[in-house]
Amino acid sequence: MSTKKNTEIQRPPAEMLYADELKILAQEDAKEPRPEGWQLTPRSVIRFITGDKKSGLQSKFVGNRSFLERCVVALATSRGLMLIGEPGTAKSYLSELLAAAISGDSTLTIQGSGGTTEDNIRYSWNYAMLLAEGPSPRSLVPAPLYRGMQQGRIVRFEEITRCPLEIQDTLLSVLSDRVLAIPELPDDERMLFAKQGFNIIATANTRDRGVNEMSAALKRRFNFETVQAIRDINEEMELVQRETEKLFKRASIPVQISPDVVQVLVTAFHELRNAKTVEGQALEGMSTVMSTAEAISTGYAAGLHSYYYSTGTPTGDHLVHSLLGTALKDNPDDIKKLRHYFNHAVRGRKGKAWQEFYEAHKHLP
Amino acid sequence: MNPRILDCNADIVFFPVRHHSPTAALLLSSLLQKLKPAAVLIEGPSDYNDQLKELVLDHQLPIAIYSYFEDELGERSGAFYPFCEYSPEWQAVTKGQKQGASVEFIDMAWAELSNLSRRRNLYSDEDQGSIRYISELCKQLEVDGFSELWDKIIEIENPALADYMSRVHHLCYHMRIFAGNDQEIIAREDCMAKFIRAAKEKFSGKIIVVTGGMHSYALFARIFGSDEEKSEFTRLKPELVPESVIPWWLNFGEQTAGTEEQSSKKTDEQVNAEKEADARQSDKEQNIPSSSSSQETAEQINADKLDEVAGSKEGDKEKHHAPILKAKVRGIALTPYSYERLDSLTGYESGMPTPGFYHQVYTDRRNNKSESYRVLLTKTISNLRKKKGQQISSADLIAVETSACALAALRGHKEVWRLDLIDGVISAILKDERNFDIPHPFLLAIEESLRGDMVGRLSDKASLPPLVLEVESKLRQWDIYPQSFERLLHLELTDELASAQSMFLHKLTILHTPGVVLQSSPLDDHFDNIQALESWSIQLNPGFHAAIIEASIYGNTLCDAAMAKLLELTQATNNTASAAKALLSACLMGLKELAVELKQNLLDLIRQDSDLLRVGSALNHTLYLSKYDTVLRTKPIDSVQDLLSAFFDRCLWLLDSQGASSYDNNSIEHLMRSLVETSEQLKIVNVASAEYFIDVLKRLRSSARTGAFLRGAACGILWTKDELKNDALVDDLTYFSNPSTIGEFLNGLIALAKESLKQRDDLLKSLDQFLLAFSVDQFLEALPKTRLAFSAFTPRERHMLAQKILKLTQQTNSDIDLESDFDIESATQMLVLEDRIGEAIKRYGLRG
Repeated sequence: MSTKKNTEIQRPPAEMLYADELKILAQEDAKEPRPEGWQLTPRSVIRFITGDKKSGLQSKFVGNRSFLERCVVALATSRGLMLIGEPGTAKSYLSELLAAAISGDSTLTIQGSGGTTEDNIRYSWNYAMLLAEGPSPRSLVPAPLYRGMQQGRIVRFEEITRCPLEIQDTLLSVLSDRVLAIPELPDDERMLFAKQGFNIIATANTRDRGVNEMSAALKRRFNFETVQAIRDINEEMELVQRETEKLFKRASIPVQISPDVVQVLVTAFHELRNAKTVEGQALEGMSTVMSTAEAISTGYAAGLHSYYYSTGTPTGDHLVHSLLGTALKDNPDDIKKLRHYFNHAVRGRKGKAWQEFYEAHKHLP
Repeated sequence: MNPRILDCNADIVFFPVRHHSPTAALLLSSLLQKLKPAAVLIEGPSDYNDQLKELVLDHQLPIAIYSYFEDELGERSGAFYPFCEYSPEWQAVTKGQKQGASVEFIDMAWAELSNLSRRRNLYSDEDQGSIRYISELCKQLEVDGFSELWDKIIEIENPALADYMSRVHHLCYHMRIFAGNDQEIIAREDCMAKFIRAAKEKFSGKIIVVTGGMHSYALFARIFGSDEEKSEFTRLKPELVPESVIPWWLNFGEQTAGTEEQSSKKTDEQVNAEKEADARQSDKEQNIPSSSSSQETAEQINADKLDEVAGSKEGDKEKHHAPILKAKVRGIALTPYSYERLDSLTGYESGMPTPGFYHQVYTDRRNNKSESYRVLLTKTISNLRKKKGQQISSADLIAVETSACALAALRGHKEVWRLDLIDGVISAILKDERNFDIPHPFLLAIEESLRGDMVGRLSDKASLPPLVLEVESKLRQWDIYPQSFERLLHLELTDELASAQSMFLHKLTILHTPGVVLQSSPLDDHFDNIQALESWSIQLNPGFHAAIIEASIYGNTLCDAAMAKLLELTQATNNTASAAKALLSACLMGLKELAVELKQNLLDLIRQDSDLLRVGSALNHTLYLSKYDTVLRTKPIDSVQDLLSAFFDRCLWLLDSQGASSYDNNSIEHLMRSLVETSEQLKIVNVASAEYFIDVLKRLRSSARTGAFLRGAACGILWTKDELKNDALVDDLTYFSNPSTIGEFLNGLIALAKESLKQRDDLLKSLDQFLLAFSVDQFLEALPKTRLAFSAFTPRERHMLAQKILKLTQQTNSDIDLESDFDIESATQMLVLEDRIGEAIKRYGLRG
């Protein structure tokens, strides 16, 4: 995989995308002490995530510093880290960045779902070989948890609360004793002791099935951290601008989304998400999340729309088209709320971008 | 920056502090010991100098100097200068006096300062002007705010004296530059410099000047600096924060500076820059033009930028001194303070967060102990376990401590600090989603433990403002001085002494004196059951003295203070309900002159208020006054009849023109009752109003817009006043006889005229017919409200009504058995059933 060029891969993992930065950091702190099995020191992990202009590190995640410090420390003190929060608050992305910085590998990922089985988490068997040779390490097919323990790396468990309780509890002994029993194997190979550096970052979404769907025993073994939506609208604008530009570049589309349009986009998302205008008036809260991630994809979609079907400059008109798909999901009331938003908050705002945005409200169904 | 300011052996040592800093307090204390100065000059209110000896009496800390005044225009303001054990200012005062030095406060008096200042705590961090500089610094040092910044470079590092001086002077010098020509700061520095100059003349020995770090260098420059140095502090604040102003020691993560030895680890470049700065400085002092150099120091770049921003130096001379108003009332006194108030998380600009934590650090360091966090962690956990009933296991405790230690290590803290501890708890114990708008109860418990619960107490020898003396002597005279246990005081208001006590206690209540609570008064009885009896609960509260001392701002006697406070409250809100309440309060407190004034004010307000309920509530207060005027001593107002008439008319006008459709039944019922009551009162003196009332009711009754409840109420009142034709009641009932409105109508009717149903057989009979005609569904719809309406009757009355219906419908007792008693068994069974239903309702959250 590493031999492939970045550009051929639709979405390269963080360790590939930021390989240069990881290399710089590894060189800079080569002599510093660190937790066993870590590629970088805890300080460098945070620098990697928050960015540092002087050393040419991009800022990758917007969040309170002490929050990040707590996350890193949880992993360094060998407690599991559970990131919870609304959808679209970049929980998975943060877990990817952490795994990339700590282990240099963010691909040991278990995707939780109603259909996740123990085999997907721990290991399964190559049945042809199992029949031919009997149980042996050769016939064992390792799943991410097995590999993470064996290689001393971070394992990511996405949407853990979507798994049935008994499947989640597979992690209990692994997190407390750091050992995985493989009863089928001969005695001397029956226990897999986790190598230093192994840990788990789980993510859970508080919108649909909350963390209540989790046994108290498992909760005890994780440190919980709530990931917040970005509070500062300026920071959010910067992030959306940066990320959409990155996406255009990756798709090789020569489109620029102007700061005015980004301001409209982010302000609208921010206001609808918090059910409050920036001037402080109350709005009806939408049933959809209106996350930053969705703002980025709306901006990206508006860009594509303008490039392929229009002048190539995204305007308020394109925004509204793309916004509809994001904001209006299954709740019929949302359309009323959105209309109310346009009529009360958007109308009368000054500036070309806002006026175009308001004009385009005719596209609302 | 001129390095001379760092000299701790100079004749005048400028010791920079952050108010409430344990490190500064400890270092200052040992410096005082070493230097044995002739004079100690401290940033503090200079009008307290005459009473300074009182500050060192045997008080229990924390205490504060409270300075208050009222200017010619009646504007009041007060400010605090809080002291706790670890305040450097406290060390300076106490140690200085002990060593026989001349101790003096040198800041402006609050009365002169208050029109320049926005703060109420003069010992809070004054970094408003330098926010941009601080935020730049915070970014560099990877911390979230000024408190953390200060902790990181000073408190946690616990540097030696020379290092401390260097760090704080560097930091504060730049903060001051970025505060620019702030009027308040400049005026205060003018004042402080004057005191320093005077002391310089007067004393031959050493002088220590203890001020907020931000003022230190500016004061030094005024006394010793060249013209250019002086002018540095009167310029506009710079727009940009050039990177070069970040002093050398801020490359701190890499250098882990801490001792003088380590501070010599500066890079060559930095050393050169500093040398050059020093050289230039000495050049300046000898008036030698400085040689041009390609390597500018941080300060010079800074100064250049300042010039650019300021445009011309002449432009800066407009500066300071807004006109100072003469004080009418003015005073300064000690007041007990508490860590709760000191904690900036709960108070208003009160200084330092979590004072309990710093207190622990100070105590431990003074006793050469370390790891202060352990005591506090134990306290937090036991707080969570005992007070909040949380189950925190030993494993959790270990997890918290491990996380806290790891966080401290990651943040480069030499020991576990307060945020490490808080984050440790968040990290290891919180297992829920955090809502960032509502603080988590766990976090509140931690903050509570770190805040500390110390409450100050003044020495018995401390002089107190006249208001406190007056209150205390009255309380003692009547033997009702608050004790540590609760005392109940029942006052029969017809008795003269009791009435005087009641007025006194009402005055204390309006001044928000904690521990004095009115438990019941005739007001609660609402027109029935008249008894002029008040019950008061009196108990000693830690804030008792502080509240009275701080109430001195309103006046020197209890009467003045209560009156001023009441006026302030009245002026803040401009509606009839609160104005009427104020009038009632004035009468309860026996403030005759004020009552007259307030009455006039109320008469003026009536025409402006168009909120029916507010006017109704004002009417209610006035009605109360008029009914109990002998007891309440409202005689000075002569009579409240005119007021009552005015309110009555206004209410009727609003009711007539607006209706009452937007109000809930309860409010309407109260209003109608008050109106009936008032019309009775006014019957003789004001016939026209009473007639107007009947007209309005008639209009309400005949209007299709009037809701069922109000119409029921109107009918009821008209019926009791004999203003309804015989069968009109039945007509109205018929009008509202559908299932959705019948209950509402009956509610209104019965609420105001219970007798109607009892006396008018035709009404009862029609009601019976309507109810019988309902289908099952219709009946179920009408049932709740109708039942509610009948709940106004007593069980006996209901029984009587039932019998009457039997009679009217010519049924006998045998058709429906009303007479025979239930046997005990079935009664018990019913009760059990009822209980079970009640429980089920509660379980499903159907009833509160």
